[in-house]
Amino acid sequence: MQDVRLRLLALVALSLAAYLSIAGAILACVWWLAFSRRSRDLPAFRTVLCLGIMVLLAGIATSLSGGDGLSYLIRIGMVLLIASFAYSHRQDGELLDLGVWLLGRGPGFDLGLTAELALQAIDVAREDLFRIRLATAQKGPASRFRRWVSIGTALLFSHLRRSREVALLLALRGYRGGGTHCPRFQQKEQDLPAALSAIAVLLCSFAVSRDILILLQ
Amino acid sequence: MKVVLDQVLCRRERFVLRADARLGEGLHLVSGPVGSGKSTIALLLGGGLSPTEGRIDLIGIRRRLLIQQFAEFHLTGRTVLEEVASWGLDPSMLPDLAGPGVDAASDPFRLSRGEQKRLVLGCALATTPDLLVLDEPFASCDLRAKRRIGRLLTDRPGLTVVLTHDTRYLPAPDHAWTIDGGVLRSAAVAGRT
Repeated sequence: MQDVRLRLLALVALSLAAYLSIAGAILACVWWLAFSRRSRDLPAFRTVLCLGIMVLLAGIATSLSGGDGLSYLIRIGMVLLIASFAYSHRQDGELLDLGVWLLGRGPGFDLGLTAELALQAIDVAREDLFRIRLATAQKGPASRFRRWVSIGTALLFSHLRRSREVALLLALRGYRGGGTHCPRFQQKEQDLPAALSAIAVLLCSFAVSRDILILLQ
Repeated sequence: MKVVLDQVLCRRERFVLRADARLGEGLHLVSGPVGSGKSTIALLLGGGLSPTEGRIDLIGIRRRLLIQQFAEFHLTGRTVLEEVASWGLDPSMLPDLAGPGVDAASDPFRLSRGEQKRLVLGCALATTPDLLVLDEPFASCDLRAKRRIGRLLTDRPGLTVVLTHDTRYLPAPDHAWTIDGGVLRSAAVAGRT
């Protein structure tokens, strides 16, 4: 999905549907199968593994405390799958476009710029982490705990320094809040059908949840 | 002691770099415009990346070290003194390595970029690895530090690969390379500066 407005709409609708009920999660899964690029829309295997373990642990904890752990697992798993879909379609600058389109050149510009910088920082952090790990490994053996403390410290300091430099650069260029930006959006043929289908999934999820509640009563 | 890049092809997202070269002992300069692939070559030689195709043979090289452009990536000590010790060096070498005005008890992350660079380069050169790869070693350095790095590189044994735009303070290399259109090519060696 190329148009960020429609993608955000689909993201909210599908996440809500998946979170509300198992039926909604299954429908969101059908939507994902119909509109995603499958493996290209999934995060790296390590990320899937880490998130999977976290959700699994939370599911087990829910079960142990008397809740429905399996339901939690399926619903949160689907929410993460939809989030991964939205993130993989992201393009640089689109959140600034979205912010200005939604809330104007004042707060919209500020929020869009902040969101854009935050998301770009994730990409930078990934590259920094790779380089810091390489540099640390070259110094020879160290305890795993000590190494991760060093890596975390280096990552934190490099990001604080970069944030300060970006802030100075913005100030030098006269930024005081708000700004002029003309948002542009491009759409692919399937963007609108995908967004409308996502709303349909949410409505169906509401209907199914209500029917189940009536049956239960 | 040599490095053989045998029909190497490295793919990073949309960027493709090709290299087929033999690097013997001495000082090698790799230059090229921004985005040409200098850092990719540095990562390949330093062991940070594996080639997508082809192979890299390190012959007679027991230890290699890649010093990246941003020195803060290399810092692991809580104090400057600890930092020197983390490289396996005698802390008494600190004044030589860090330069004047650096307090042994200070936090290395609180040093300026130039001071961090001087400290990391000083430590890296003192550990005398067989293969030393320096990615933009003169970036963030003042004139004095640049001259000092140039002098240290002149006397260094083994194989040194310097990837930089700034060649004014670099001793005359034994071999020069350039990256042109995503391909590492041998280039004419300029006279001693």
